[in-house]
Formats: sequence, structure tokens, C-alpha cells
Amino acid sequence: MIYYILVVVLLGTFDILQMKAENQKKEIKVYVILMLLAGLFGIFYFLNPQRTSFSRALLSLIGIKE
Amino acid sequence: MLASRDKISMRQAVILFIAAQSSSVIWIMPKHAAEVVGRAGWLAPLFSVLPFICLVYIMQTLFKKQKDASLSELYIKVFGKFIGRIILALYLMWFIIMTGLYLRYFAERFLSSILPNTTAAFFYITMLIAVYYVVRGGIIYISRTVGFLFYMFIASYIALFLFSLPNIQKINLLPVTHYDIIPLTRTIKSLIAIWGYFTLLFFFADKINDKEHIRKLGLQAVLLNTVTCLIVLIQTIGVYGHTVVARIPLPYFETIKTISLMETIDRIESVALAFWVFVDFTVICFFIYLAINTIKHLFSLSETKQFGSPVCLAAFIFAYYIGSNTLELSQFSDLICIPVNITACFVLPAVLLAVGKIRRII
Repeated sequence: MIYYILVVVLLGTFDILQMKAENQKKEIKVYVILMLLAGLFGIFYFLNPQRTSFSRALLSLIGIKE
Repeated sequence: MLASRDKISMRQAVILFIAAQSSSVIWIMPKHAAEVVGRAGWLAPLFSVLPFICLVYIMQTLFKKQKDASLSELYIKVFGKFIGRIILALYLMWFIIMTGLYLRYFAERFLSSILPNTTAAFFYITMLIAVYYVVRGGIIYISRTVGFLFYMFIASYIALFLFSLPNIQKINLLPVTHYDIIPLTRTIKSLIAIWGYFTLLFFFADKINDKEHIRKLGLQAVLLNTVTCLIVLIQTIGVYGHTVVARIPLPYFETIKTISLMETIDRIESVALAFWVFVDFTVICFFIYLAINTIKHLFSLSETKQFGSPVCLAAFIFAYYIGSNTLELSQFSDLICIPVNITACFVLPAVLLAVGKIRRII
């Protein structure tokens, strides 16, 4: 998880600096939100990798059992 | 001659589509056709031609007047900003899920065949680094990379089929009777769910020139897809027979393993392995680029070069999170992906066309 967060921070900083140089204010806002979502999604997964998978959750939601 | 340096031709776009759909066709269709139809499974592509032709005509009609628009813009224009953006947000989520799914399948195939002791993360990271680098360059980079490798792919594909011919047994393919027609119609939904990716090309239609050739090039794609799918099915079912193909995890790969040239050159599956990486690379690039392009239209952004990072990271997590085993993955593909792909690639564009015509926008 630590490596994942590190990648999120490094990539995020690199991209935001590039966008800042090109004066893309709106793009930076959307980018930060999406990067935060990607980061949170990663943390959600890595906190418990054994949790119910996405497909199983979706299949039980529509009433299909294995 | 291209009208703009930032755009690709319709021909390049169609090549991208053919390469992107090959991944699913090569790895899913032989097993599926053998399971559902049996001996006559190799005829499955012929039954899916008609819906694909209809799709080509829908796309041609959609972009007849709206030459510079993309499908995303048409959704917003026809359904209004609110509903249009909801539809785009759903498409965006689906593109990210599909990227994760293809990434997972890419790793699973290696893990279940030649590199069982490697971690899945190795495959995810190597593939995503390559894809991230290409996608940052935009659609031009993607289509040039794919275009360059595509002809080699087709040539090796045909060569592998010719080398397999001595191993194909007539008894595995014939006889075909009228009793096979009903089971054959059951394969239509799986194949059109894959061929429906043709629609997705038009999410970046604003980056495609000469859209007046949609019908001509689309019909050529129908022909090429049908022939290549027939080749894969004849090759796999013809060599092993439908009962074996239905039970082995990677029938195409196993078929290539049986090739022996003049009893001296064996084990040429490394050629198939190169395909394998190429088609998976193409489909992952395709979906990541689609996600980035949808973000652009969803949030009305001017530049989205850097948005490959959050999309790749989300796809990386989805590759893990999508399923805990191969059974869940195949259930997800059969029970969720097929209906969603048909809705996203056939039903929604048809509704868009109908509403657009009623509102006299298209």
C-alpha cells in the first residue's frame, strides 16, 4: 500500500507541475479529484485484499449466486 | 493525406478496432462456441454478421451530418447536458472496469500457462508502464504503434493457420446439420458484444478524419473479422474437437503448440505469445484512451494528456479487485460484460439515433 501511495503522490506531483506550467486550472481541479479517488480506491482495496470481490458483489446484487 | 496532424484516418481507426477485438475473439470464442454449439461451433461468426452490419449503418447515419462531433458530444447534444453526462459517467466507469478486466486476463493467461510462479503485479505493472507511455502521446501514437504491428500480426496469424492445416481433422468439423442452427444463434450475443467495440471508436470520432468512409471500411472490417474468427474456430475445433476445446483453458495456445514444421521445428508458440501481448496491449490502450477521452467530454476539459495516470492507477486496482478467482472472472464476463457491452455498444447508439432523428439533431 505504501508503494501505491508513493506512486500516486509522485505521479500526481509530476502531472500537476506540468499542468501548472501550461496554466490549466480547471484540469488541475478535475485531476486532483480523480487522483484522490484512485488513491482512496487503492487504500480501500489494500486495507483488506481478501474482501468480497467486485464481481461477486455485483453478481449477488443482481441475485446471481455461484 | 490527413486534414490534421492530430487526427487519424478512418482506416487506422478500423485497424485499431480489429486489433482490439482480437484479444477476446482469440481467447474466448473457441471455448464458448465449442461449449454452446459443439462440432458446428466454427460457423458461429456467420450468424453474427447481420447485427454487425446494422451497427455499421447506425454509425454511418449518426455521423452523416455530424462530421466533427464525437459520440460523447452527440450524447450530450441529443439527451441534454444532465442525462448526457450521466450516460458518459456510466461509460467512463465501464471503460475503467473493462481495462481492469483485460489487465487481469492478460496476467491470468501468463500465470496459467508459461509463467506460473510470477506475481500478477509484475504483469500489471509492465503492461501499464508500456500503455501509459503510448497513451500519453495520444491517439496518433496508439494507432501508429498498432498499425505498424498489425500487418505482422495478420501475416503470422495466417501462417499459423496454414501450419495447423495438417493437424485439422474433418471429423471434428463435419457434419453440420439444421439442428445446429438454434445453438448457433445462441453465440450471437457473445460475438456481437465483442464486435460492438466498433461503436466505441466513435467516442474519439473528433480525432478521426474521412468519416464518409465509415460504411466502406466498416463492411471491410465485418469481412475481415468474420474470416479471422472463422480461422480461429476452424483451427481450434478442427485440431482438438469440440469436447476437448470446451474443457481446456487456452484452446488457441494449445493448438499452436501442436504445430510441427517438417518434424524439425517445434514449439513455435512463442509467435502466438507475441500476438497475445500485442492484442492485449492494444485493447488496454484502447480502453484507457477511451476513458481519458470520456473524461475530457464529461468535464469539458481542453487538455487531458495527464489523465492517463489516475485511469491507469484505477485500472491497476480493478485488476486485483475485479475477481478473486478465474471462476468469478468468467461469470463476470458471461453474466455482466456481455449484456452491458450489448447495451453500451448496440442499444444506446440505436436509442441515440432514434431520439436524434425525432429531435432533428442528427
